[in-house]
Amino acid sequence: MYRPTKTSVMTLNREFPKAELLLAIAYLVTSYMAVWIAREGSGFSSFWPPNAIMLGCLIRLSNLNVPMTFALCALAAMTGNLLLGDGMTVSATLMLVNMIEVGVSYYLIRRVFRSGIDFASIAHWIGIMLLTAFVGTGITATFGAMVTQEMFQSSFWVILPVWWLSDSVGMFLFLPAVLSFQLFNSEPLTRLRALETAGLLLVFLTLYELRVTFLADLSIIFFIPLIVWIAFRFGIFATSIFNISLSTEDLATLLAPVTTSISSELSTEQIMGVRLGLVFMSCTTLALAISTQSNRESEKRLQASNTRLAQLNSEMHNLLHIVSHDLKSPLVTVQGFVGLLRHHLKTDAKDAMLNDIERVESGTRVMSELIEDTLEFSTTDRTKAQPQWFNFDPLFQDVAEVLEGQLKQKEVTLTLSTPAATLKADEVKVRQAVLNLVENALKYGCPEPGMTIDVNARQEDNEARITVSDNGPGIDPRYHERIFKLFSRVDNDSEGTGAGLAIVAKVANQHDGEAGVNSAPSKGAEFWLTLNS
Amino acid sequence: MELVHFLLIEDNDAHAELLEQTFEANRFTNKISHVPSADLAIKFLRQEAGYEDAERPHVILLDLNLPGMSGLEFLELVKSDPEYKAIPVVVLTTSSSPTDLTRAYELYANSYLTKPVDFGRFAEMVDHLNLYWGVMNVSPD
Repeated sequence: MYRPTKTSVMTLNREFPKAELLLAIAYLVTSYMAVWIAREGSGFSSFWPPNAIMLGCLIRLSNLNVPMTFALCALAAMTGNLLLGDGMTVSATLMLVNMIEVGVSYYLIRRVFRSGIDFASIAHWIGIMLLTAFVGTGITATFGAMVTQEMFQSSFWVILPVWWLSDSVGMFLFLPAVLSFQLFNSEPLTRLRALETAGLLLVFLTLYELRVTFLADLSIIFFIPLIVWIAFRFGIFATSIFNISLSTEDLATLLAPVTTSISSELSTEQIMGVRLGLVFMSCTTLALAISTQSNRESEKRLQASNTRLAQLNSEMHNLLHIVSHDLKSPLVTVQGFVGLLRHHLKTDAKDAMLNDIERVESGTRVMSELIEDTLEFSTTDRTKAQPQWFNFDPLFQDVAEVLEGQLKQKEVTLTLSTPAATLKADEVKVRQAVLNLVENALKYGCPEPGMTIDVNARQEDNEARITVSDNGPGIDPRYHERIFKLFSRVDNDSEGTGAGLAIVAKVANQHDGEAGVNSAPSKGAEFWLTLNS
Repeated sequence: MELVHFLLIEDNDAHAELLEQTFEANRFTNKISHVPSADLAIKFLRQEAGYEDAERPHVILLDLNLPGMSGLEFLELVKSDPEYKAIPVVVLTTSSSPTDLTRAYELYANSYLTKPVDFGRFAEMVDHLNLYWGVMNVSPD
């Protein structure tokens, strides 16, 4: 009944690169912070945690525009360096080194995880860590050490491990943030979780202050049990925040004396030791958090798919029941009138025989309609909605064109109120639904010539509401719900199997919307359909 | 002897005709009135507009799958109305669903028959229906 999609699709697919820009801003802030910490500290070789933020864009390869993300992050890195007072050449070199580092990691991740990354898998997670933190940074550290040797005649073998380790530590410390960022895509932050996390942070900071003031002897190990508990209780998000704040704070405290006067008392080995400790702690708690989160998530996924399966099963049962019942009915007709025909043959009752034949014909016709409509319904049911941007106007025009003949024949006026609004939905399915609604109004809402059908669309926030109203005989409220069920009809004078509205309801359902009717006897009927994008 | 009056509630014309012809082919002492929906059946029973001359049926033959008010809803209505609840209701449907069957008996249906696809068996069922409800059974007046 419906025709192929016309090429009237609005090209609104190029949206503002929000995610890319957010990543770049995060990158700017963290690179600024990291370089600041490094310089305030000891002038220690640059500390590049922001690389880990860049990982966020690497990990989200499929969703982000990769060149755009790279360009924005490069710009952010450059700005960060310039803000910290580096010269143009130094800033550009540092940015370049950084981009190479990220580019190498990007390439490696794509090579190793061809079939996609599973965040619930600890093996994958460790793989990403190793690849990005050791191999990626190893290559750039080698490059950096070579350059430094050339430019400042320093020893390649002294610079390489320091550079390598520092960069890797940065990766480890900020990877939790990247993972949290990624996980939020699958599990949104609820208000409760946000409050819990904020509360925990408060407790943590208080404890931290107490530790600095009264318990200065205790090391960061004091916090390990707390963090392990949080890993179990709150998952990755809270653990990440803890790890980040703890390590940043600890590092700052650790490095504070260096900037004042006793810089010589704190050896490079000591700083390395503390950093290694932080790496170890981050790894352990994150692994715990990921494993509990992954259990929780796989359980949730299992539950969701079970519910879905049960629902599908019951829908299939219903469909089978309805179809078998409704198909049996024309079979009874056909077989019955063939039987009567045989009887009438004996008595040579020609008129009766003709009637029998007509009944057989109409029985098979009904059967074929039922089969076709069942197929159409199950096709709508089976195919997933493929949302795209389109305009209401051409869609309504299409429907009007398809029904032009029937409208003329019944002398029905069709008015289309077409707002300029666009809609993100499956155009083919929506066209089918609108067509069914107008056909339905024609069939049941226009018993005599000269009536009107109004088609209207309205867009509010993310919800579009399409209404099709007629001024026909209306529908008793008792049947408002039932008419949307497959093969259910209100009156038996009109043709049709009663699949049209069931398809409308299905389309609404597939767009997280609803379908319904406002009507009362002799008051006309307003059928509506909502779609969410 | 008074004719046994069957009220057939059936939306499918072809099925109604089939049943009437088969009844006729067996020609017993009965007569059939046919209404195509439960809403009209209510009017028939109450002798409302269009059915002023309708006679009270002795037996109701009820299809379940009806447009508008469903057969089960009609059954519930009739069996809770003191005026009509004594009239035996024979459900006559294509549905062999256990839910429909149980529900019909819960709503005090007096019998439940499924329409056989095979015409021979259909005619046989109509014979038996006729014999049992039209001849042997004594219905209240």
